[in-house]
Amino acid sequence: MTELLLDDLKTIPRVLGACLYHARKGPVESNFPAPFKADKLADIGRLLMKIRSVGRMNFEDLTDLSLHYDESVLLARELEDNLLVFVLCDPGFNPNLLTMSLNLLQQELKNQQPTWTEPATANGAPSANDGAEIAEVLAELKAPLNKVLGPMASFIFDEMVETWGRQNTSSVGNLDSLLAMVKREIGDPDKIGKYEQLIAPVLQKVSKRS
Amino acid sequence: MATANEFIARISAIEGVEGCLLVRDDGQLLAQSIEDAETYSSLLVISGGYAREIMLKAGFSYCRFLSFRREGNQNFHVFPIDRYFLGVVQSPDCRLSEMIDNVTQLVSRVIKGRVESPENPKEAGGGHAPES
Repeated sequence: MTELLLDDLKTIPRVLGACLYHARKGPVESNFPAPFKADKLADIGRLLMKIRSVGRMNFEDLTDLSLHYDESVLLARELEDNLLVFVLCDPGFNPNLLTMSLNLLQQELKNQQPTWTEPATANGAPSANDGAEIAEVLAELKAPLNKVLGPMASFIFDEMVETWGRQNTSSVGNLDSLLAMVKREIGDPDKIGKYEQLIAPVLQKVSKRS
Repeated sequence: MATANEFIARISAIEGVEGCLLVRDDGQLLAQSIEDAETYSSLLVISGGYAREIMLKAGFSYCRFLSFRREGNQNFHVFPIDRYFLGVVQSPDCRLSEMIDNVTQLVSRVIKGRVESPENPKEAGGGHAPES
């Protein structure tokens, strides 16, 4: 189904291909031209995710990114958490037409259960509720880091969460390994102490829930 | 040789440009015509660096600019110029393609000036931008 949606994008004049990229799973669907192999798409997707993250730190109302190269344009949009679509176009593409098609794609994805979403639950895999809970906890762990690491904290934290997500099942039960990474990044024992103090209420809340 | 301030003044005079800033690739702010320019410095350097990385990975030849599109249409554009990055805040009601063309033209003249200049331009650390 998502393949069809991407094929719809490719029918737009001067659109050469589109790719759905998931932060943990890499490229999940693509109809990019053949020279763009999976590893190249993974690199591009990862870097676009980073540009989006750093953009969101400055602009909360960020919608799309576009990168204009001599021979091509890359346009990227976050469709939902951790899921990005990026489109390769000829420089003469019609941005209004493409934006409208991306709006449509976003709407249609909302109406279906994509094949790459985390399965729910009986075997201990994360459920939708787990997802909401972990997102809330991560936000509460990220905010105090600004007071310790300054303005780049949010960006650094997002990178560590990405690494953590690749190494572990992202759940509140695995927070220790994420916090160990955060503390290593902080480095300074005084600042680590301050951060521990700031997040103590969050960890208490987590342990009460579990 | 145009100073960084002159360059910024010329970019700011383009219709549709609400303000702009010029940053060196080490994050040092050289000139600006917007408030809170420091908050944008890191964005320019980091996003510009990643855009270059994508260029190399994908095999593209040159990054003209990248744009952060926002709901209120007050988009932000980053133009790499050699070791510098120009950041432009767009007026919400501007004619985008016209504004981008005008900025790109001025940026190209700066880059061309650098390439054609027999004596390579002096370091911009003293508040000088590339030649225009």
